[in-house]
Amino acid sequence: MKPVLRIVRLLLSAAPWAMARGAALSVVVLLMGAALLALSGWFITATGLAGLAGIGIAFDVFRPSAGVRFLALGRTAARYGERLLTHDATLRALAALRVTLLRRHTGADARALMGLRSESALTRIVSDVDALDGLILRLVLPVGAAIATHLIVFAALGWIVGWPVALVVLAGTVPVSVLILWRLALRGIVPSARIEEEGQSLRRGVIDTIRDRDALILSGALPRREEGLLDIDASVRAATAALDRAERSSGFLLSSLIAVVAAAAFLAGGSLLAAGQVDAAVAVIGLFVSLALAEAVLPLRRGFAELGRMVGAARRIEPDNVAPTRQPGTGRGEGQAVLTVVRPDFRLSLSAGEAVALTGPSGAGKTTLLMQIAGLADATDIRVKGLPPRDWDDPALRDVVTALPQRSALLAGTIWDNLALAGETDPSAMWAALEAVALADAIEARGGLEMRLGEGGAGLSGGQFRRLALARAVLRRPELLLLDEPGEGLDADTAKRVLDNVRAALPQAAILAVMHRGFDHAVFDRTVRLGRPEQIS
Amino acid sequence: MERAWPAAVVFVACGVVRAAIEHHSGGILFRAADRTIARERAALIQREARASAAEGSASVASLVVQKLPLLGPWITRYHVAMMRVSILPLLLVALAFWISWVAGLVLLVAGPLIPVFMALVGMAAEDASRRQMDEIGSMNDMLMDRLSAMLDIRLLGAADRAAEDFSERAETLRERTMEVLRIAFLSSTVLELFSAIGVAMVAVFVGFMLLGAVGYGFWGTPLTLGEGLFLLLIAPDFFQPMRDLAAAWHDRAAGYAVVADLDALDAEERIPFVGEGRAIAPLPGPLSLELKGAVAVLRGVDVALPDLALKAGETLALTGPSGVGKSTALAAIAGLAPLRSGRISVCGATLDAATADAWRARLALVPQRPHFPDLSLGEWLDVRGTGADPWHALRLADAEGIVERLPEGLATRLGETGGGVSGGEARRLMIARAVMAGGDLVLADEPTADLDSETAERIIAALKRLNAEGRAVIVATHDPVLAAVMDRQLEIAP
Repeated sequence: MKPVLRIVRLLLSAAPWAMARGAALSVVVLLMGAALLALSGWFITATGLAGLAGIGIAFDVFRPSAGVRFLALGRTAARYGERLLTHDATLRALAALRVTLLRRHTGADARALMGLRSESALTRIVSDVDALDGLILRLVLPVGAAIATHLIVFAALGWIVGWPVALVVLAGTVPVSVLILWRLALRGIVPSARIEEEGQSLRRGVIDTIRDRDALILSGALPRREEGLLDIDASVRAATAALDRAERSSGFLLSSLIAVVAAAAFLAGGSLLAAGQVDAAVAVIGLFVSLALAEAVLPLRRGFAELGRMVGAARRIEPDNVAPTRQPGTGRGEGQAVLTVVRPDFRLSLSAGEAVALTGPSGAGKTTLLMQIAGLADATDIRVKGLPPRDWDDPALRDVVTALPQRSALLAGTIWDNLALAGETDPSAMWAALEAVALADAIEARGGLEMRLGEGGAGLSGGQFRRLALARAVLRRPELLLLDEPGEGLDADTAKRVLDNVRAALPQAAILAVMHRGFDHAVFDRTVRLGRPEQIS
Repeated sequence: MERAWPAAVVFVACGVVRAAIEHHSGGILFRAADRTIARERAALIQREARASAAEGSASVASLVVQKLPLLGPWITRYHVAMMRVSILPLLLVALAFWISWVAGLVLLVAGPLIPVFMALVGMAAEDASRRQMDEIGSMNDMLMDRLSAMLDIRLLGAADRAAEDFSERAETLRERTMEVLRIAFLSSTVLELFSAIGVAMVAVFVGFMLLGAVGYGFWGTPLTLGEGLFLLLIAPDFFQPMRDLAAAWHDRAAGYAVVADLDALDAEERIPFVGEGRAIAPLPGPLSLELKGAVAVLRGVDVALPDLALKAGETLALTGPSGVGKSTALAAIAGLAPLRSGRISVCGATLDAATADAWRARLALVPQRPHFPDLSLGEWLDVRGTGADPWHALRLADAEGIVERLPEGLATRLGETGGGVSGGEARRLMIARAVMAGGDLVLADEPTADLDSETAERIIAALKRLNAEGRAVIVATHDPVLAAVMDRQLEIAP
């Protein structure tokens, strides 16, 4: 439960004022509903008795009927306001939850960050965030409103009708409802977790089966795999059915409870009437109010049935699971050499203005080395300006080192949005960077910096994609630029030209580039080989 | 009080019976929805891998797992609300008329106005909910986009900028969504307003009639208190079905969207494979393969395949420019792509539905792109589920070092991106998998593409070892080095 409470606090604090307004109006709506039914019931009973007694003309009908009209219209208006305000508050909370999540992931290391690219990791996060979206709208606000409504109704009933009736309504509804809903939440935990878990494995299974189709057909494993998926489906549906049963049975119990409490309130009113403490019209108010309270209690089922799913989601989204365990560094390097790597079988020293090509067989650890230099993976044998990367103050290190990863990612949005991630908002600097990566013409022809990219940068060819990511790195104007296969997806001529231009754009930068081919380019002062002891110069 | 007790007991009994009926009907509806979802899911699961469509596997998976359940509320809520709306209000208005024509008239006037507003509400709400769904959806898209770009964002030192930018965009989204909701909620408020006015008017009229202040509206005898209360209690129930229907309108829109997705997927062009994909005994006889005038069916186009013949232990390279049909030829040989015309003979028999499964038991395929499912490496390698020892295959494919280096060895789950192994290592693992699958013909699709020459050499050596053990090998390749080590090269002309 603790993770859920932490998320609740986060969501509530995102927009406390909006939440409070929404919650207050929810209470107003419920109270007006109870008052409407109570007043109408009282009015009709009173008029009926007055009519029977033949004193109809003397009976004041105007104030009660005006009250009925006021409550009916006021409730509708309050309901409109409530829906608007709670949705507004929820939307604010949703944004806050997502921003918090984003910020937490910024501290992760390279491995975890690359893991975020996998579709299943992303779907899982989104599904968890979606589950938590219901916390406010379906659980926190309705529960708070129900509690407040019951307390106010208790006071009002005690004052107007009598404390026995008020006590019957409060003591009858609240403790038993809490028990029923708590039982629902407990019964929901196991099936919710199973739906979530098996749902994810069904998803993975379907993707795996389709993508690995050829191998499965060749090995005659397809029918077996399909049966496996159908089994998972059966298990998901069994869990869904169990959850539905739990929800329906608590619905049955709550509805029955409301009938029992209404009857008890009616009898309690009857005993007050018999004792001569109230008249008949007042005596029936308890009955109508307890019927109206169903509106506060019955909708709580949904939220409690989903509590299990929310608990699981909150636990996975928990800060401890994603936050960095390492203390952030605070240093700033002052060394002469921009970069030194000293390993038993590998030495590298790079000063300002130098460019080195890094080669080696696939799997030798070239990409890992770049991530270590960028401070996103642990290493003790690397110094950036004399200080290990992980001991640097992170923003300071980012000002010195920039890397183009092997598989870079772009955002949905304009070219401008993507380049502005580098922290440079001057269009002329952007155009200069685009020019350097030989992309300016292509971008200009398609709408300039306002050209829109789809999700994940869709809309550019592989080579253009790569060059835009490179332009972004160039815009950072780093002292040390790390490039992981910058020529990937480019033809040899373009790759050459781009390297020349990057060198010209950043004359003072030290450049370390992982190259599979093209390491004989004139830009490079040396070639260093990783994976074998000797160094080729 | 003596009369109050039986009344209370009857009231409670009615309440419980009503709750029980609701419970029961809920169960019936759930099962109906469950059957529909189960049927659609089974159909998708048994179709999408067999005859895959152009639709991506991820969107099929999200249809199967996330979207199909949206049919549930459509079935259980919308249809029921529709049925209730067409029966209950009529019944209740008749009851009201029976007791008091004024009360009946009030409901009758308020009632027909509601369908008019219903249509307006329906249109506005559907539109608004669709837009709102898109907005919420795009907030998630924004999140996914940024999470998957987080490595870049971090390397650019843009974490704070990205988070601030996200909040700003989320704020804009919220403002736009609220503008839509203001209209959408307003229309349903009109509906509630009508029902509130209707109920209030019934209550007031009944009160006046009971007082005798209104001398009309009833049949013969004046209204009794009981009848008055009865009218008061049925008035909200007259409007309730319409409110339920308005609330379920959103479920209808969601259901329709799912049905539209299903229809679109049904309409996709599908190419089935030859045979059933069962694991059966291999085709007997010495290995032989012959293609004669074969034309394979590909999505949208037919591809003419070269004539070729291959015997046990031979190796062959299919070369030629991209798109000429090298991969298609391998697929056709494996019975993965059906033929439009011509003939493929395998071990003396024609490759058709009757022989394909047995023929495939003699084949192993090394695909071009690796895909590592959510399985341990050991399970993934043993694709036929024989439980055999994988180390021989790993040695042949020069992949034992890769597995030894992984901290969890054969129990490692590589995950969909193959995180932890490089491109060349993934290829070697795929070769090991093909060896584990057994068979005496290996089909390899571009096994050295995108690899540095050193890694490519190791792949070529592994393929040569497979051949030395007696397997025939066909590669589709651009790589002249690989093509040169094969017994024969067949260049496919465009």
